[in-house]
Amino acid sequence: MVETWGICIYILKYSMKKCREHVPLGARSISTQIVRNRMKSVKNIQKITKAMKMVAASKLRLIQTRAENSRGLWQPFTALLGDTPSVDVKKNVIVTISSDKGLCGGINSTAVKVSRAINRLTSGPDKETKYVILGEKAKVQLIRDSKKSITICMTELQRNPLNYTQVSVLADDILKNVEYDALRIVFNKFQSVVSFIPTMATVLSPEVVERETESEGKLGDLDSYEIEGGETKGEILQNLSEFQFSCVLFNAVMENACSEQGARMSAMDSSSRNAGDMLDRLTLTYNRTRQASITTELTEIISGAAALES
Amino acid sequence: MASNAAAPFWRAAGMTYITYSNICANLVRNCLKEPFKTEALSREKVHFSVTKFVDGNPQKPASCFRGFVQCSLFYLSNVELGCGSDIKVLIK
Repeated sequence: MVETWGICIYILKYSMKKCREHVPLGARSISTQIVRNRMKSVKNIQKITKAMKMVAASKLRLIQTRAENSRGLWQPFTALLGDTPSVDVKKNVIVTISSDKGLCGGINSTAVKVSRAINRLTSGPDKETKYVILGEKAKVQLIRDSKKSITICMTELQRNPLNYTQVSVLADDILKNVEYDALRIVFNKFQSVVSFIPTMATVLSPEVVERETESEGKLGDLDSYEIEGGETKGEILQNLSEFQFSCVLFNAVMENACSEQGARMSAMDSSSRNAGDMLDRLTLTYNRTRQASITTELTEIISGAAALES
Repeated sequence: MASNAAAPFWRAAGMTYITYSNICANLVRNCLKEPFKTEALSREKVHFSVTKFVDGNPQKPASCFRGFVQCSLFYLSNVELGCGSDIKVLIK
């Protein structure tokens, strides 16, 4: 009897010796090192996402009032020239607005999806649709399938806080480099921290506006306004449509920046919650394994003692 | 300068209404007293980079502008029209 126990203990010792070749020195049964490292990294990620959420929340607060105030810029233009998304013209230019940085939910892919849909809607025989892209993220997505129709791409808008001068210089650059009958600006309109409406704003070229007003088209009552000064109607329409474009673009950029921060805030909120859940699960596994190894060790000691006694 | 005379003037220099109104806005901002002046002028910092695409290939990104006035002066130096110098005086 004693002999068999002796053999048993010998085998146990031998197998433990073999085990030691695979695991670090001093580790007896299952190593918890990996789980512990994982827990540490998840905790760090959670800290980062929490910090990003705070940053996005404070940025959102700054930009939200400005975005809401900037809505007053395009409203008079819509009252005067109307917003005619259904107008049928030859040269369409889609201005897709996106963010430069990622980690902000699905707002960039929504903008790209809407732009692609508009591209399909406006394309046809002897029609031309071009893209003008604002922001790195839409560029990356659109370059994959519509490389040929991109004309200009503008990035690094948000290095300084957004201001009207910057956006108007940008609008000026677009006007000089692109031939268009209608500009379609695609952006995410900010509604609340959790909801953003993909929106399209249409800016017509002066020629199209004139055509639409003359032939009893979609813009009927422009002639009822009295024009002061010596300029002709064409000149005034050109000035107006240029100014309209810069105003609408400013609002669109503001709304999109606001949506970006809101989306980032909610994305970071949910990711820190996910990290917390993961941490809970890992802690549970870790503790259970620890408990199991303690139990195993106890059993070994007790059985060893019992073997010596018998 | 009356606006009637100005309208064809800046259009002939190859400006759009946006550039014209920005130059006017810059003039107005420069008329402010300190400390409002620096505050207002800080709102016209312009910075972005432009990449043009030719046949689906991105070209080299164009230079970024630091301030609006530098930008418009840079622009004006490219305009080879007689009235360009007049506008430079207007800005100064």
